[in-house]
Amino acid sequence: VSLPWIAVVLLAGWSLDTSGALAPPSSGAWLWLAAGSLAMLASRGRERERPLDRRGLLWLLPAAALTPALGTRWVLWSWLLALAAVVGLACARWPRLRFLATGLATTSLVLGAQAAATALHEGLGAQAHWIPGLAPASAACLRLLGLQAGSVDGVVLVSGMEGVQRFIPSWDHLGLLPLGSIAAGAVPLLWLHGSRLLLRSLALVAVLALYAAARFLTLIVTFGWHGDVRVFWSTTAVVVSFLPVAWLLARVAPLGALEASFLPERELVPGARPLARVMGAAACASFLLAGALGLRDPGLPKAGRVLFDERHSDWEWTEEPFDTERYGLRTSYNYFNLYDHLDHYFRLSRTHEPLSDELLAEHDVLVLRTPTEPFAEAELAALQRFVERGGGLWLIGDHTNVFGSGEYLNAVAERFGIRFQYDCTYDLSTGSLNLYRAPEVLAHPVVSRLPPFLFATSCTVRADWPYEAVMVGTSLNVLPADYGQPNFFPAKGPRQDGQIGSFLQAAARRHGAGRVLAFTDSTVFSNFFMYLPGKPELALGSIDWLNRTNRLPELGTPLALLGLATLAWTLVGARGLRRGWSLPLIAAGSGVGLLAALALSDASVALAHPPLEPRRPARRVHFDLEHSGIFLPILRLQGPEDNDWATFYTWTQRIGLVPTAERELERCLAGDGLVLLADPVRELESAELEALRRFVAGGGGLLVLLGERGLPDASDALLESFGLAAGEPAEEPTILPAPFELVDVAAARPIHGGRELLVGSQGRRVGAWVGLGGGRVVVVGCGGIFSAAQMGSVSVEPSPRQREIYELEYALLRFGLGEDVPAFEGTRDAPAPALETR
Amino acid sequence: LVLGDHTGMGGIREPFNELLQPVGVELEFDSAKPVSDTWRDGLVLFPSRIALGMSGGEPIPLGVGASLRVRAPARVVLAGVPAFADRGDEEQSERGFLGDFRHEPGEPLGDLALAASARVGAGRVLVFGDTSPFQNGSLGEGPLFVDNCLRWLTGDERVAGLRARAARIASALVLLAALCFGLARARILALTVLALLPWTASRPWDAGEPLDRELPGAWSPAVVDSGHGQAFDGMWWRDDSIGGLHQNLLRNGLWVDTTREAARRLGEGGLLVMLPPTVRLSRSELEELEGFVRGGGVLLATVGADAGEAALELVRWFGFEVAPSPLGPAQCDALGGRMELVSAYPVAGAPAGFVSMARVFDQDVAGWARLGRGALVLIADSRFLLNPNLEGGEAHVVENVEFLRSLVELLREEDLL
Repeated sequence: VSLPWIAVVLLAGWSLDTSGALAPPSSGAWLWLAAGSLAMLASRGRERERPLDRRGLLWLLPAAALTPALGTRWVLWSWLLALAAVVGLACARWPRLRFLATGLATTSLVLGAQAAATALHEGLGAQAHWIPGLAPASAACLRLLGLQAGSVDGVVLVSGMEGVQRFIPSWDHLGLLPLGSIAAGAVPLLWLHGSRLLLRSLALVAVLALYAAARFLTLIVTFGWHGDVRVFWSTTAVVVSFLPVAWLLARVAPLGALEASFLPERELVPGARPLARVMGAAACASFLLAGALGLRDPGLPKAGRVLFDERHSDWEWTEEPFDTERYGLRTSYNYFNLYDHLDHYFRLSRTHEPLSDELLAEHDVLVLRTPTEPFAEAELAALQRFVERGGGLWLIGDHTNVFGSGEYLNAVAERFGIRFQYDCTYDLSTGSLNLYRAPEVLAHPVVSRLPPFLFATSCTVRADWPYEAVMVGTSLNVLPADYGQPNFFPAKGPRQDGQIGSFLQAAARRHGAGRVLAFTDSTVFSNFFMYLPGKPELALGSIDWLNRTNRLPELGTPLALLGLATLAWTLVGARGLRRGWSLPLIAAGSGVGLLAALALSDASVALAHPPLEPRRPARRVHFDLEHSGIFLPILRLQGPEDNDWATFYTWTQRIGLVPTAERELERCLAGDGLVLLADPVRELESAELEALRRFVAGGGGLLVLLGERGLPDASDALLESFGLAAGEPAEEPTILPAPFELVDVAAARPIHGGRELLVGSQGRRVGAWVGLGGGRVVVVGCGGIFSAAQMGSVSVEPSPRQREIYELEYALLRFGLGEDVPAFEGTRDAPAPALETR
Repeated sequence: LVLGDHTGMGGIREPFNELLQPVGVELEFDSAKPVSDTWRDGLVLFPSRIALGMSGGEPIPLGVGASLRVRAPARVVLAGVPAFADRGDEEQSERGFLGDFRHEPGEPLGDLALAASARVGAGRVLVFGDTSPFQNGSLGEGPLFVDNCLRWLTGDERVAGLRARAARIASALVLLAALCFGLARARILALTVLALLPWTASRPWDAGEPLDRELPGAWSPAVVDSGHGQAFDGMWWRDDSIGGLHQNLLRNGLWVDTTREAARRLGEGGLLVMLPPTVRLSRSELEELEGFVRGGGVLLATVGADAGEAALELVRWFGFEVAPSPLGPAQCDALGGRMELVSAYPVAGAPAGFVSMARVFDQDVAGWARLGRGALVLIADSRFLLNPNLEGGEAHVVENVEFLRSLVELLREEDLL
């Protein structure tokens, strides 16, 4: 009798794991799915064998065929539903397959309900963490067990031989998401099994609540004794800890005789009108509910006059040039490149004046980042009027109220129903920086073109309803600020004992005719991160969204209310149908409505926010990561084993270039400028070589930097195609020529063929170039000096040797782009020696 | 009381073994090591008078010592479980003959005897393979254990033993009666067993009063309260702990004890150190504390605004108010020297007669005030007395060590200690 309930719990494991809300998604999800499906199939063995209705089964197929567009977790639902329909059709010939068809249908319906619950949690759960009084209550329970425990501001502290253990109890520790999934999965089961639906639903809710409390107590005791906070969030721990509830549910909400099958039966075929009514109503309900999350007023574009406030911030300066003369922290935590990049698309200006109505009236978007000074009351009032009149306000905060920035920003943000929290975020499972991935569907316009985005430690933000969840970070560990530490980061580095789950990392609110966007991590737009994938897209998406005036009132709340009313009407209408028909029809109708809403939402975003065209072109250098063996902090921060080239990448910006990191060579060749291959680890195919030759011949540049971290043979074909070759690495260090003579290179590779560019000590020819059409190919055999291990970090105060490495980088980039470079003038026209191959 | 040490350091093993031969205890040529990193979870204290009041996991500060070979009439008092005996290395005289601290084939692995006791005529013998529990730095960490050892060596255990025996016999009789009566009535049997459980779990040999101490004239009593959820580590020398505080109080002539039962010690007067409580003190506890201070005691509280409501309520009871504006880490002048604060907050309100000791950004962050015959000292930095800011196993903050010394001197000059 417990099997269907066990199946519901196991399938909740799938929903939990794939959502990534607590632990990050893992391949273990398939185990939960397989185990849950098998349990469900095994529970379907004792059903009456009434013939299924072919027409009713066919109704399921359109919904199933359309839903792959909805995202991963809905795809599975649709596939299972489609499979159930197909097996159901086969039952006419092989009646024994009926258990399989109904088992698949049941699994599909449970998964669909759980997916809806998970989506609801994603929409609302990012702000549902805190439970007043839970921390003192938890500490009191631990004290009853003899542990030395107490609570401070919502944090439970347990002191003992294991050290001082901390955790912040919340809805996530209580298991809100798995509880919601289990409850949602129970709905289709209760609907089709037996009578007294309301009574059994109430019993189910009561049992789940009591069980959650008992489970929580058990977990905090386990935590208190062992200090392992993972008991609260690892998917295995969560699912296993909820399995016993299946036994309880089987007793308090027994699944009596099956009132109907999970598939439409021939004996119970409804009339065409009720059938259409229920399906149509279900489609409307799901359309409205999904639309409440995704349908938004795209707004009326404005003139794109963007103002940066320089008066209130002494951090992330826009006026400190990022050039080849100044180095150190003030040039790295610096917004020079952000300002420059936005200026390619919008009309930018700065102000040191107090913010006033007159000043703001001349601008469409105002950017306030990490203020280090408070705003005057008159300025706050002017800001409020600015937004009410249709202005866009971009608030950029950072972790832990650093420099008091959170407090100063909140003086502004709270006027618009937003509050930056004084905390910091880490990836829950690794303790490292968190990687944000925009949702597959219903992405906010600000992030609709955002690739995977690496945060650099944000804070979280809270917003009053109605708000727009621009970026919801999942599987986060959120720790409070520690004012006793540098920059107020928590002591002992990232830990796992903070608040856990999903949190808002960017939120927006509409206020009057204007918009406010709160973003929580100023560091990602610093010069050293600015041109890594995701950052330019987010900056442009943010300004583009803010550069609009609202035309319509807020749509989310009315659509949601209307959707809920329609859903209620659907359920009432479905009571007139035989139960075997009602659920498949609701499922099919919901699928169609959902798809329509998502398609409309995403299409409207795509139409209203086309890619921006720059006002003036940029000179670009494309880093090919498909063949290069270098590391850039795109998906994670660099580790000690990585061949880190972040400094080289960032330094290209010092001579006015815009670097891009591309996963495919093809994308590098799509534009103009310079293509860079460094430490190649993968050979180019003949088609790629041909495309590269065309690119160079068309005026592009190619810079190949060979170092000891690349594979020796990976560049052979590439060099050969341009009449060049690289020899064996030198055994002794090579001293580079003037003006780079402070640079000694270990294991430099001689370059044969082409024209001489760099000749080191002992006449070793470590750089050469060839011209082809309008472009140049430059090859250097001492690329190892350009790793961060040699160049230093992006905030380095460089040594004289490092300065000469930088000068060499600038010279090579300029030369590759076709410029005349004085350092190479003497060697440019030297005769080329005969081509030698290795 | 025989305190040995690992391997045969200093040539102690042979004379000790000769001495202990009649009682059946022998020091091995090895170093007893826990299988895990520390002895934290690897010690078993066998029921005896020495285990008095130690069922709650009170620390036994053991280091590296020899394991014991024990035979009758001696019995094992303390065992390492699981542990291994790392064989000594005769060629490593400069390293005290220590081995490689790794378990090698042939080395005993499992339960190792670490302390043993025996009775010889009317006297008693207690043998340790390690001196650590009795070293200065350990006295604050495991005072109860040391107290119990000395008490057993010097005292009379007949009463406690009889009490324990009587309790066991009574339990057994009740259980037997219930069995006879309840065999046919399962519920009665179950209820009886349940009713007896707390009695048996309470371990009757734990009953008894702690040792009453009389401190030598130059010493003042000091108690660190750990009974209100104070967040510090029981391993003493970690960053979250207060080994340094103990060390410094001892240095300054304060005989310190950390206990959950601080209230029972208030009658002794002296110094009571309250790190931020995370559990609210009841009204009666606050009144008791006030009585302690008014009666001549000194309450030293380290409470910043980040310490939570329970701690803030404590200082408010005495008329102090700590403002929630973080002043961060700071250095400042204090009591004629310097002071380093970790996470300071301003003292925004204080009782009459408040004397400031330190100021940061023109705001008081530490001070004291007389109350009755005693005084209250407030340092508005919750972490000021933890090891990293005072004294750890390998480093210390000399300014704060000196500050604490000056503070004790000041309290003595004011006849408060």
